[in-house]
Amino acid sequence: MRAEPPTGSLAGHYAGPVTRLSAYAVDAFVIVATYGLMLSLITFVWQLVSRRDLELPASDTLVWLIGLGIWTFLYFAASWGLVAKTVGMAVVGIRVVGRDGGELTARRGLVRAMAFPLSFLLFGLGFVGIVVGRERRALHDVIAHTTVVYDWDARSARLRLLTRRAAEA
Amino acid sequence: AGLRAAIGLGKAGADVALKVLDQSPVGDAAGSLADRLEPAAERGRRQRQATAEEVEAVMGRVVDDVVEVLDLNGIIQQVDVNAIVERVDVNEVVGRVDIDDIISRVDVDGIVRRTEVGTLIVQSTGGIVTQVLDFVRSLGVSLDTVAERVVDRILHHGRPRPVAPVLLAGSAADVVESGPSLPAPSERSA
Repeated sequence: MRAEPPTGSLAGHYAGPVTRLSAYAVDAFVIVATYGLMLSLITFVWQLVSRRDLELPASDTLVWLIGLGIWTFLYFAASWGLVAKTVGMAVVGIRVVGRDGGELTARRGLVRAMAFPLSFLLFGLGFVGIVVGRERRALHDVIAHTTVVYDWDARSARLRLLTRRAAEA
Repeated sequence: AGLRAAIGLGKAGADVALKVLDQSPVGDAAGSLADRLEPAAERGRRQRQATAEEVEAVMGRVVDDVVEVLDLNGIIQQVDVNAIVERVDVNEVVGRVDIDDIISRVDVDGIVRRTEVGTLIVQSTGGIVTQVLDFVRSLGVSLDTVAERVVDRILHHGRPRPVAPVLLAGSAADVVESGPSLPAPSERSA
């Protein structure tokens, strides 16, 4: 197993489970980080405007978790609905498309965000389809008629790598 | 069969006749005549050979002189090359060429190394961030490939699954089998 870009362009091919999991991991970090930043910003603005301290719910409270859940839903709904990819997906080079490969509509992106939590039910069984399915679709993909494909030109990356090696040699 | 039999009979008859003639005074006369004519025949053969050699030598010199005298450029200029080319079916000629085979023999990596194309690509695509992204994505793809092969071998008995959705597939082999749940064309966004 090597970390060299493959020789062919993979753009449009179904994204695999490792890449999608990596994207979710990056998204989880971004969501928590931005949630914390947003709370800090709210506190700062409140203090600036009202000149009083604002005590936000602690991170182990239900209110905090509900807020995080709402923020997570907004994050995914806006990302998929507007640009068909999240920050994590952009980093690893994948995007959401319709089941037939067509562009993702805003409505379908919203449905996908609403169905996303269902995949976590029953210990994440909803994600098994990404590994074993013919079209590599999770439960929320099936509900929203979507799939995830690579959005990355591996061929250009390979050319860049070869050129760097030639320059170093 | 009858014809063959007749031919065979004729040959046998001729053999017998020749043997009879050889034994007769006619045969003796024919033999002495042949002996007298033999030297003349020999002279004729030698004369024919000498003539052939002389003709060959003359022809060789003639051809050389003719070629020197001939203005080949002038002759070629009089030839309507366009008319000849128009008669050639270029599409058929190209159709017989295996383009894929030629392209597969091209060492693209070698071209990139030997030319400035790669330098242009590197200069136009940024530095360390691009390298990190390329590495992360390549690693993900490698691991995906390993997982795909394991699943294909265990669950799909070695039969490869489609690699892309129908609209993004590059060949018929990549096409996904369509099902009743596929959205109608009117549902797809522009």
